[in-house]
Amino acid sequence: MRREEARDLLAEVREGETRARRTLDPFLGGLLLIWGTVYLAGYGLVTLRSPLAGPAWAALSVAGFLLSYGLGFRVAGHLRTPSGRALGALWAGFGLAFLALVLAGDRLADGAFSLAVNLLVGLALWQSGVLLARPPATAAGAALMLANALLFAYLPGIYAPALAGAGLLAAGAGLWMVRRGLR
Amino acid sequence: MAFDELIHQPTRLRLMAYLAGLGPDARVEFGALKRALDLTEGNLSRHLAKLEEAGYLAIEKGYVKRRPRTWVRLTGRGRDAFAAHVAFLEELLKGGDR
Repeated sequence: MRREEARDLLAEVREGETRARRTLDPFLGGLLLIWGTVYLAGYGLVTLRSPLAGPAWAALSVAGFLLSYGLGFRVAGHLRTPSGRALGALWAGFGLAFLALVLAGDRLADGAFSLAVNLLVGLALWQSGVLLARPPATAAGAALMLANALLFAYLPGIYAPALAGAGLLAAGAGLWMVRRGLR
Repeated sequence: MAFDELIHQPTRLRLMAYLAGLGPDARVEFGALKRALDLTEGNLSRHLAKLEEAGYLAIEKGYVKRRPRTWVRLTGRGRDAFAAHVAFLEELLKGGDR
């Protein structure tokens, strides 16, 4: 066998490995699309001072969770991998933490609910990026955690519109990942 | 480090690389595998049968929502053979023709 042939065959190996690494990208993209849309609509209504903002947040959160878990079950119907299982457990933990915050409800100080939820989302995104070896997702999680804290502490006036904008970016990135995965 | 005639075929090499890349104990459904590797049903079936015969893959039948599904999993033997073949190719690339 010649070196050229070995090089071509190793290219096939890298191609197979790349496809394997991207297998869960449509799932991660779907999560970004769902939660980006929830943020865009929810914080968008808060920015517009809509009286519907409160009930809309509750409805959007429930819809977001149902769609996320539906997506997870759909993926598990044709693919079961160690990283997929870890991702499912991670987001189930996020759901539990979110429920704990909802139960704490009125006892939280003003704005603390949003601050805590966004820190959890940022952390879940960071860990998803680590699990799937996707540095952009890890970076996005870190950026969300930092921006969330800084805006909350120093620029509360633009907290809601900034997170609506972040939602738009996340939804766009998610749509791109889903479309790339479907090709 | 060992040359493996069976894995050497390019499509089977890519198939093994994909399954190895999913991680240990990963299982993938036949249709998803076909889409992931852009293969036809007949082509994929033929390659899977050869690799299963060698003990490199395990093919399991099951049901999801009452629909029959075929799951494909890389065995420990398959993982070892794949790793050895890739090591052979890498060594060849470093060393020279054989």
